[in-house]
Amino acid sequence: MKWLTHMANPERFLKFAKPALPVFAVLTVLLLLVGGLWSLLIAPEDKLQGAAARMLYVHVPAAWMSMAVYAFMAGASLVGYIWRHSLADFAAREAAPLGMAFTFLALLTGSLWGKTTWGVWWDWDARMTSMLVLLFIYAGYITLWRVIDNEAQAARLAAILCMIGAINIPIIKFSVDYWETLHQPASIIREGGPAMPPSMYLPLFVMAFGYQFLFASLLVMRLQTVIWRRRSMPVRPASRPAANHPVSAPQASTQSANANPDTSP
Amino acid sequence: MNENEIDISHYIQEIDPTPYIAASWIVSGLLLGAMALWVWYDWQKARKNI
Repeated sequence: MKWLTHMANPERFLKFAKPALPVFAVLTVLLLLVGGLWSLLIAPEDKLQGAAARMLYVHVPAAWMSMAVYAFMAGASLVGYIWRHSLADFAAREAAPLGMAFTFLALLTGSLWGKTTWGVWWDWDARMTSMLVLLFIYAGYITLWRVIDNEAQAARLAAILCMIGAINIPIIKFSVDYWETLHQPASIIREGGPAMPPSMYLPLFVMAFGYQFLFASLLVMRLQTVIWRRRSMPVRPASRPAANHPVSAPQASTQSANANPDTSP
Repeated sequence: MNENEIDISHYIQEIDPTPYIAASWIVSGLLLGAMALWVWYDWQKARKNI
């Protein structure tokens, strides 16, 4: 919590982002390169599915990221909603298109894998349906931010939507256990360890870390973009609520200094 | 086998998976690449205006 409060200050965030971004970017490239070559050239074929299991290495990390990004957004929304740290609201807002892209990718690669394994592109089974619901929640969240002109109000309503939508995450995770589904039960994150050999789950983890660092890099860049852009904006008249705009131009944010001094630049 | 799980073994390997594997990797690369490019382009524009 202390770290979150520390990072809620845009100046401190920019100080952290400057050295962190190149590290994240290099790790992203390295992990995806190593993971990609390992998955395609070295990892063994599956006993039942043969080469088709090579889709695992792009599908599963995308599916994990779709849920992890949403969980991150829900956490950031909670922080933004309770402590009014607007950088947390912006973190959730900027993470949403990235999470939506991962969800879309998980559905698309899942569909390709489903065709080879089950013989169908799509089935309304619990896992696929709950993932589609997640895609719609992302779309609804992004739309909500866009249609409400008042940023403070948009942040609060979007945070409420995001926190309610978080109910869908455990539904996705446990859908394969509680409903009849084409998907197999959890085979990696489960009691007793992964149900596959290290020669398969190690490249999968490398790919998953690559996706995570890609997300981290892109989110840091999005937040830097938001902070820089707001600082270069002309000062607005006082009619707009400034209490939740600590990343605005320094002159504008003087009004908000008393509301939440720690988040002001 | 989980009691809720459907036996799918009779479907497996009826289709040559090579084009599907290629498509899934290419689509993933293109989408993630496009996403990174969009973020980088916007980041560069904002950085120039600091």
